[in-house]
Amino acid sequence: MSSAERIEEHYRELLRTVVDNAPIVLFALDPEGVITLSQGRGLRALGLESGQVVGQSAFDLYGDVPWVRESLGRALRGEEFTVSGEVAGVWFETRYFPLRDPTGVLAGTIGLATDVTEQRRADLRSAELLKREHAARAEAEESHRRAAFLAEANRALARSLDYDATLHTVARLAVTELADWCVVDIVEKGGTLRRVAVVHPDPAKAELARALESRSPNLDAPEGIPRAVRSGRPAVYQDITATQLSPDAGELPFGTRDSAYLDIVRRLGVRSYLVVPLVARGRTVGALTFVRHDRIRYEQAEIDLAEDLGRGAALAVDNARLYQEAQDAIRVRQDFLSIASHELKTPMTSLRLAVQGLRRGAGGLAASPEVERFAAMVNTADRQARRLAALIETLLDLTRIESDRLDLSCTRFDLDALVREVVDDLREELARAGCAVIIDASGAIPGRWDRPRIEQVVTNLLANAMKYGAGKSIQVAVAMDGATAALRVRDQGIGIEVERQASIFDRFERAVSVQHYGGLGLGLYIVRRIVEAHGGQVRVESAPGAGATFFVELPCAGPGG
Amino acid sequence: MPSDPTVSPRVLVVEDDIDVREMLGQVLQTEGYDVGLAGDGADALRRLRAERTPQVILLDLMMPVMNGWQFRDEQRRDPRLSRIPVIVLSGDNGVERKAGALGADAFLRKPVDLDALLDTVSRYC
Repeated sequence: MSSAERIEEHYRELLRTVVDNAPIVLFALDPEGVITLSQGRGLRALGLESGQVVGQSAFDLYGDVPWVRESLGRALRGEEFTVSGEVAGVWFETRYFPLRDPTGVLAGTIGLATDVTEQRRADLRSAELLKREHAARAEAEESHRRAAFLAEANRALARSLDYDATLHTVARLAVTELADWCVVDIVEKGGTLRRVAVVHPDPAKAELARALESRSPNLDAPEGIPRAVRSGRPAVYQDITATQLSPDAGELPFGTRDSAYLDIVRRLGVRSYLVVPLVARGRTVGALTFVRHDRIRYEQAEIDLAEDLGRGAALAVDNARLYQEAQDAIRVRQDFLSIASHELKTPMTSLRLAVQGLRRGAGGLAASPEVERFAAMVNTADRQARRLAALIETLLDLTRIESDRLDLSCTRFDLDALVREVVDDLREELARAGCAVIIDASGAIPGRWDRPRIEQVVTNLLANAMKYGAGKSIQVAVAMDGATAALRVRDQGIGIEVERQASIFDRFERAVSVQHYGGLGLGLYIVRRIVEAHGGQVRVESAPGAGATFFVELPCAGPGG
Repeated sequence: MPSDPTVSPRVLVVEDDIDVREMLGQVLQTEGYDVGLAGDGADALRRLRAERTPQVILLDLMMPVMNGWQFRDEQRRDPRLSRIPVIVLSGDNGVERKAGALGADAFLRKPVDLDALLDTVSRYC
């Protein structure tokens, strides 16, 4: 062997070693597809050794793998290309080159196949990861969208106390999110269902949907809306077939055999539907029904979302009902007070006339101890009748103030003169209570106010001062402060604890127990309402044992002036 | 007190509640008035047409058969009755406004004070 041959042999050996240890398969085929070369560590993945399959037909060995057969054909036709695919669990990326003899005639093909199984696995893994990430993102977006939907629904629910209208809005929202069409039923006081809304977005079906509005199912039915209402848990019906919608079907997913009802349901379209009960404070107040006419089933996430929506709707219905009940109770009380007060006024009229007539008559009798006793009794009767009349007036005032019927009719008058008149009118009561009144005023205080109402304010404040400060003097001051008239009534009575001062202007409130001081507890409340109706304000300064001073401020221009 | 010492001035009381009506009659008679009593507007119209014309009418508003408003319509339509002064007597809190709307000459709020009643009535007699 020449040295040149030795060197060539050396390189050939080196090349074989490289090929044998590279993760590749280097192979050559003759024009018939018979393997003439097969080298490389990549063969091991197929359970072969270098040179093992030389002399065999590649078609015989791998012809049953379609992509291999096709690429062998292309390669033997002289094409140069790259192909990748799987053989016996191994992924190869194979590059084919045409093999030509020195004259250029096609003499077969050379293929260089690389084992890409690992790389492919890594690719697959990252593709899987990517897919999962996409899914996670989609899920996050979906839950965000649902949260936004719930938020919007709850905003709609909070907007008004008219729950029929509100539930309509919610049903319309639900139609885009959870259903193709939607039904809302409410449980009425008598325990029956009332259909509030049937919402279908297709205008062509709106009339059909309205026909369903007048048909609420019977609550005794075993399935459908009644089941959800009775159990307080969602009811789901999926993959409903046409036969199930026939009146003589064995199962009744709508809980009714009413053929007209089922016919409307069929024409509106239904494949699956979900009923969530509206539960508030442990009571089922209604149900939301979501209907789909395509093949999409209700998944748990949607049932959860529907239940969330149901909770919000239930709260809204419950709140609206509580509000309505409270309003009704107030109206009933107002009506009662109003009738009672009018009924009380009639006997009061004859009673007062009778007592005053007696009193007048007693004045004309010749003086004697008996006549004096008689006169004293008549005086007491007169006083008590007047007191009773005042209490009835207070009750009537309360009904008017409570129902916001305190329509003021304002005229121009002098507050200073009015205060003096009221004090004069009350002189008997003041004398009996042992209260001297000291008026501190510096002149006329003209303003536009409702005269009888302001009289009432002054009277009530003086009555209050007499009640809690009996036997001690009362100071009344009237002054003008810019465009405001200021009235101050100071007693030297028992005083009011600081923590009670804010509430004494509330209804039926008093600073001390009712056992010691009578009255309806309405005087200061009426004062506050009248003063506020005039655009003014009232406040108190007091300490226990140190008397109380009430301050009233009234804009001279009158209410809204 | 009546201004003419020979003939007592007449007051017609129109009031549906019998106790109130009788009591108004009693106190007015005690003061020397000649009093007619009617239980509703229709009764009042009959008496006005059949009996001595009063100097003043004390008129309740809420009454059965014919109420105060209907009575005023009828009274104003009759030229022989339309000039008789009317004092509206009502427990209604809007009595001032209602009396104004009825074109009444005065109003008294129930339960009425005897002094105020006698004072008001005497202005028309």
